Amino acid sequence: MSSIAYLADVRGDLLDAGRREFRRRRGRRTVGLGDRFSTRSIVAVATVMTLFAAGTLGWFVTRNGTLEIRTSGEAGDDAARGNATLARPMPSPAPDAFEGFRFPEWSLPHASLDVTTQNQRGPADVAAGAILSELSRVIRTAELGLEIPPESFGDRFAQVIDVAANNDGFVATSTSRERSGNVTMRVPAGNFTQTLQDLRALGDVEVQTIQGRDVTAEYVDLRARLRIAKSRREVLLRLMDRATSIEQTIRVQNALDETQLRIEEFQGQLRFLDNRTSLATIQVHLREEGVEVAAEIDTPSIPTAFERSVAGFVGVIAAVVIGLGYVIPIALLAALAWFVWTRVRVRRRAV
Amino acid sequence: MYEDLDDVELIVLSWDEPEAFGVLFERHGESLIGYFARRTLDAEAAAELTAETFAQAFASRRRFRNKGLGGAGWIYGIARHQLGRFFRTGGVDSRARRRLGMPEREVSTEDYERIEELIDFEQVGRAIGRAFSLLSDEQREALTLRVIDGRSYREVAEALRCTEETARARVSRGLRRLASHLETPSLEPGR
Repeated sequence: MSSIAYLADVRGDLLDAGRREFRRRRGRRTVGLGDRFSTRSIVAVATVMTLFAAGTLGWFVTRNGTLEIRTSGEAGDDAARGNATLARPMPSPAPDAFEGFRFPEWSLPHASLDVTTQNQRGPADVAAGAILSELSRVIRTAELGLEIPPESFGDRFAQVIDVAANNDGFVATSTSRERSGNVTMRVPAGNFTQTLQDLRALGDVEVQTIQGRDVTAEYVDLRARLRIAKSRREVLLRLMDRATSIEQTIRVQNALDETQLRIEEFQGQLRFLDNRTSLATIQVHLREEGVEVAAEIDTPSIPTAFERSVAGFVGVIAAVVIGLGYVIPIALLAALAWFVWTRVRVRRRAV
Repeated sequence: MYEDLDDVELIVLSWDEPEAFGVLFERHGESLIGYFARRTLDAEAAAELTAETFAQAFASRRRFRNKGLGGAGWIYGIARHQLGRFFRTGGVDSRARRRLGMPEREVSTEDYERIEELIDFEQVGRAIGRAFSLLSDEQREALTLRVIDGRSYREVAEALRCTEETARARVSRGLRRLASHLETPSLEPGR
């Protein structure tokens, strides 16, 4: 023992502190994390774990479609007007299933609008509605993943092609392996829903994505531009007749050439839109039960890689943000429960 | 019971048995207070620094990892940290003691004397004289005029027949050199 009384006192104080700590820990019955790790380490690990949990949860949620579930079925043209993603298992087709996500502008040119206008508006409005309806252009695309029974790939593949033909469509591309394959078909837009129905009957729907891109505004804009360009061409032709010098003739001719080029551009774009809107595109992926389809490997390229990396980055951040939305309320509730529990325990001991 | 254990074993054992830490304290308390006393030349500060160092060591004993320095090396590492803080701030930290709920202790007159005995002023004086003799003549003369005689830099400059800037530089360099000589282990008894 030291001859310095101060040291003896400090030693006694330390032992007292140790006994107090021992009593506290015995009360807790468990070894606290704080005893083994620094607060900074605990906070860092907790943060990383929370973010990881949030990211996993967000990924799980987005992947399994809890947020994206929008079903399809007999909804007819409605299905073609928006994006619809369906994850498995697919329930039986549900009428009016697309009611929830109809974009406002889509309701303008269609039959429902025609009915209301006939009831409530005058003949001029009816005519305007008819014009809008005539101009309405929607590009419809769908992707369907079907799981089919074992040993049935050959038959089902042929049936898919028959479905295309029966609906006045055609197969644009097709690839087939031993027990799985893909078919891309084009069918008239009016037969889009019927074709999907026929296809769904061929197997169990694993994934269904339906997209409808309304290009009406673009179409109307192109038509207006075409009309203006044609008028300009008429004017230029008249000017050409009046040109009296070589210089004037050359200037007008250049303007005419440019206008003609623009007209052809507009016509080309209109033809493209006509084609895309009059014929819907449906991609069908067939897979026999138990067959794993290998991911298709694209030809690697730097721009694609960059796009993927950006998409991956945004995807991870989005997943974490979505997951945090789930984790934070749960954590708050857990903290509240823990707080209440410790209070109750302390009071019980005090009694 | 614990006397046969080495420092590392005592620290590990003290996780659940505070008495083991008491043995560690007995083993190093007095040498640590001497360590602080010789550096601060202040008995009260040395006592408080010792208490705070052991309090911090006790509070963080579960995070102790033997990195080859042993238990004493670990405690003296904390001590150096405390000493640096003391020289920087001019005061002794008391956070660890407060955290452990340790009361403030007064240093009695008897303890003052015992701690000052640990400083061994005679040896300190000898060390200072030895360090002083290692300075150059100019530095020694400048230091004597400025520090011992307490004369102004102008007077020092006049006496040494140099500019004031030169006088300042000699005093400054002399003090630095003196300090470096005093940091040598010659002040550590038994080392």
